[in-house]
Amino acid sequence: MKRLHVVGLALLLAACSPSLRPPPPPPPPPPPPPAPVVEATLPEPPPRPVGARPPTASRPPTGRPMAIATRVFLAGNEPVPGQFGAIAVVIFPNGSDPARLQQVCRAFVAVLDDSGEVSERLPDAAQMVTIWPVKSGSAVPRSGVVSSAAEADRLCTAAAANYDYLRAQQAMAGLPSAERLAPATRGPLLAAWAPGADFGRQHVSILRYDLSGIAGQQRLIGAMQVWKDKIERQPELWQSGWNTTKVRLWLSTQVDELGAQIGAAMKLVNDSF
Amino acid sequence: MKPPVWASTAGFLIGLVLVWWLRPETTEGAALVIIVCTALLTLGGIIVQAVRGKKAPPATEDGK
Repeated sequence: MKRLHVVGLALLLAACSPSLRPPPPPPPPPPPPPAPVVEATLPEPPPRPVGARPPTASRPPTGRPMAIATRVFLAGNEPVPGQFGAIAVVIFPNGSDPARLQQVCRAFVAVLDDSGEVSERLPDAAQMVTIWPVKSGSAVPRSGVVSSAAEADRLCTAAAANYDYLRAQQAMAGLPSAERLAPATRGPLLAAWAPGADFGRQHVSILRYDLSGIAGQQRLIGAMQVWKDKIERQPELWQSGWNTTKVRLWLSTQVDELGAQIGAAMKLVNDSF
Repeated sequence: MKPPVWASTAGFLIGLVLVWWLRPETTEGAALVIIVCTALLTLGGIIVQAVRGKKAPPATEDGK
């Protein structure tokens, strides 16, 4: 019996430590995605003029069209750019906590590449751009490289204060009912349409990631990294299955929140005496 | 009944591993993981010990 427990513990340790495991073999070909999800592929970029400078980044060896996850702050009066490979929106429910918006924004800025900078080197079709909607007339720049934490803080304070809930609701209306943000959740929901021309349409390829269960700056950065990696590498696998990082981030958040609740309750008990 | 020390120890160690894997940002979160793991495995150990004790043949008076 003792030996059984030791074996069980060893198995658990092996399962819990990805760094100790040997690198996994190359994944098998992805299963067909469930309806109504259609495989997200990028449209072919327009033919390059003869003599034009080739793009600086090379295509991945798999032959899959290159995809780079980028970000843009789009004001309410600006049209949604349709020439991108995919368009995603950061959707918050009405009346969200500004502190939460700022945290998510910092992760958004820290992880995703600036769309303007990438556009200078690559065709828009290679970009899978994530939009942070802001109100028209706000001082938030559409794009720009953020080089310091203080700069990110300033940008995100403005972006959070000027978040355009109306555009977010419009984007959410384009999602099938089952894919929308559940009521009474804090969000955000990241939803992407591919190709970009299908933005807001139903019955097309939609990638989604609900970050409602994720809290804490580092975890939000981790979650945004998951989003970036997924839309860059495996968009067709987005809705099927789960991955370890997502589970870890969610579990870790729940543990912290429950711990904080218990801690607060204990303090309350101490105060009453 | 002897306390199932092995189960408590295993629970504590598993809790530590889980804390390392989850990387909670608060002390309360980390403590919660360790306490829950230790408590669950201790309980499991008590149950296993009780079941094994029940299944064991009753000892005769002369100890055979």
